[in-house]
Amino acid sequence: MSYARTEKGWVREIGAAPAGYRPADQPGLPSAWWRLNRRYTLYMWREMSSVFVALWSLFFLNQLNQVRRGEAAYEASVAARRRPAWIAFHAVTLGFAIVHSVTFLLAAGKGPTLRVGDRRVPERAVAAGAFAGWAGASLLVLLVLLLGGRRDTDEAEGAAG
Amino acid sequence: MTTSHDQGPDRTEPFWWGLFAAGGGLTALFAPAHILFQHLLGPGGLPAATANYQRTRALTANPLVRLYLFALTSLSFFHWAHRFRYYVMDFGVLGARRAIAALCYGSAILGALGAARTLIRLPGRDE
Repeated sequence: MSYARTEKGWVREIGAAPAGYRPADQPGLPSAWWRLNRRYTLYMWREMSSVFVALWSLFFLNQLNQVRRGEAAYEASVAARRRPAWIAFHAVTLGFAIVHSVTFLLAAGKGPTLRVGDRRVPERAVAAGAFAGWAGASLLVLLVLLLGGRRDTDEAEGAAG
Repeated sequence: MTTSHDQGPDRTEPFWWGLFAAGGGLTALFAPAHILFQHLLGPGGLPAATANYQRTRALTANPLVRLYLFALTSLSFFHWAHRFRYYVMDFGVLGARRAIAALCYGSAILGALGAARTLIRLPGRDE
């Protein structure tokens, strides 16, 4: 074992760095680091979900913009979204959106420490609340989509009839 | 005393993180239902309001609905921007951090302005 003299005194010399080693002040990872294990891979897929959800927002806004252009333009955009390519996009986006929801709502239980009196609310209880909120929000969206705008449509049809 | 923040900590981070978290929460709660009911079950026959021009027009004439749609869509852009900023780094692009952040958040701001413009210009109840 050899020793070397440094400013701080004698230190034991360590062996040569293994191949691929990078010192801490020169961070770097193999380009495919996220394929090294399943957690990393899931993390990267989860991050990708935001791309699909933002794209969906853009397309949804574009569809809503057709309302301003009139009935024919709007109906055309609705008809276009029945095409297989759009259905495939929305199916993939739903998958990503669900990955986002599950991971985000599970994380909700890990963030703040909630207390009731002296007791800490368990992580699972917070996550359960978040998932109940998700179910409630989804039900609300369904109800508004099923019932929304009906009265105005009836009035318009009544006036037309 | 003036200091250069170019290499220092990003002091705007909490602000962007706040928008990211708000967007993440809102889209986690509401986006899957919209996608499923409007764009997958809607074309399959579910009588969703968005499949019909008159009903969509009536619904979006409501200011509360517009406000909700603005929050949902614009915050989803900020949620994307914050994740994508770091996603680029995760793929090994470690330089030009400020430029990449500006590009991501700038796109989100443009998206939010576009969302506001789209929703404000929709026909109102009496038009």
